[in-house]
Amino acid sequence: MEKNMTDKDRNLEITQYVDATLALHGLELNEARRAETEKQFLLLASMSRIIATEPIPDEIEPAGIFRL
Amino acid sequence: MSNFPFTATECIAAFNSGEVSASEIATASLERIRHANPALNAFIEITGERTLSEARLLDAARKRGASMLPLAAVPYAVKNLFDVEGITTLAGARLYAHNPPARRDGKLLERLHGAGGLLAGTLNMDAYAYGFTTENTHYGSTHNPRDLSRSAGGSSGGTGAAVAAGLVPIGIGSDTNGSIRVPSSLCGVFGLKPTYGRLPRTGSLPFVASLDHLGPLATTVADLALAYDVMQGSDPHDPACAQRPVEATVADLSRGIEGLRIARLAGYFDDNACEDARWASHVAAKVLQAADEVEIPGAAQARAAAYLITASESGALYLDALRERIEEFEPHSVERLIAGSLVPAAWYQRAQRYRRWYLERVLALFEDYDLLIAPATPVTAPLLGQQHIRIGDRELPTRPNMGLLTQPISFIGLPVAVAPLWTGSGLPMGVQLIAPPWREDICLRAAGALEKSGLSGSRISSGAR
Repeated sequence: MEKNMTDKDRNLEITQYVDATLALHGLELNEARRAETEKQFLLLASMSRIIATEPIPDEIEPAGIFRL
Repeated sequence: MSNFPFTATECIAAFNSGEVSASEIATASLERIRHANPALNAFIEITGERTLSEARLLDAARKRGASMLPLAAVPYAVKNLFDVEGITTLAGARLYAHNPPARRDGKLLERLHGAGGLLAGTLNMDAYAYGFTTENTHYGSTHNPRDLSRSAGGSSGGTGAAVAAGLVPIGIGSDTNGSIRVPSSLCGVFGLKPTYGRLPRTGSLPFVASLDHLGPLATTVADLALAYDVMQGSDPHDPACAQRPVEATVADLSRGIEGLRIARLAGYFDDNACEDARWASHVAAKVLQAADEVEIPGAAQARAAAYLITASESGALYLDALRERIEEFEPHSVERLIAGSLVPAAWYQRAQRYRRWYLERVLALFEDYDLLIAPATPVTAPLLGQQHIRIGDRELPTRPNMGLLTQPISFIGLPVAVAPLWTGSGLPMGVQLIAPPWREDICLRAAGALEKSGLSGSRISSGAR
């Protein structure tokens, strides 16, 4: 998603993404459940934005199985 | 029954001295459970026949002069995501209600049984372990023994309530984002979330494999350490379980805070705490002689990353069932699971990379300190059904935000003990005692020091004893 997009643009893209991915997963939801799912996905998108700008060095690997 | 041994330490001593039999201890515990559980809804299944059968075996062994076991004649109970032979493993979910019974005990139950523990039953929880309030649509809400109108916390809410009500001295729970620490704080008992990879999860239902931990809740620090010690040991069947030797903690408890460099966590951990929570953190820091206040860099981002990983892994885990049996899901969390299944891989990967990076920065703090102190929950126990909590002038939804202070710690697998303090309102508030990886001994020593000072204790009512 582009950096300079407005909240309205972002929400529209998220609506389209949620609908497309639900279809891809084969999940058929009633309207109330679909709307609540989109609300929860918007929250996840906001969480994603919190870490999106963190300057993580390229050499840092994902912590898959996490033996300390 | 008023003078009957109650803590695990008392049960072991009374049994070993011949003062009481294991059968008498088991019977007393089962009576307490049957009397109190209708009001609490902590136990989903009471395994009375098994409790008494295990007790009779211990009594017979003592008659034969068999050597004493480390947890002999101690009643305990487990969150119902652990496999118990002959019982269907529910994880608080109707989805699993028609599954066949487990064919054998989970690994930790095997170890507790081998140490002489008496299994009293299985305990209520948020469905799938996805929640912090144990408000379960299909199995009912668990009520907090300190105030029945309030939440016991979650997702190990039944475990917290059972220990706080004095029904069993030890309960076993799980903690992905705070599910041992939140109930410990809200119910006013001691809890331990060990280092990620310390205790094997074999024979327990997963929720978020890369964040799931198991651990004990208990009446006293000595009981907590006893339970933790007998559950230690590697297990090749859990791929995340470290190949470490048993590192026993009980013998070191008396060392208290001797030689420890301690700091209180400020910044994020004050900003997301109500007045009672900040008070608990400050007073614990004073008693433990914390020299400094420090901030964990990136704690808010860590919480966000933990939230994403949790949603994504749990959503993926339940995707097939969501397609096929969506109406059987818990209404409180079904849309969160669906939304989690839609998370793009790039978001998930970034969260996992942030996890590694954040760990490296937090480990740098432990070059200067051995122990960090923070509140365990943003607020004391909310009312059951309460939709929002207040932190300063902010009003936040209750369910996702009770883990605000626990998520940035479990995200990187650090060991944490929770010690309960008591606020002016009469409700408990736990403090997190956080140590470097594999140093559960430090967490427990600090909890023991708070307990010894009289500031912290589980205040089990005398009526339960």
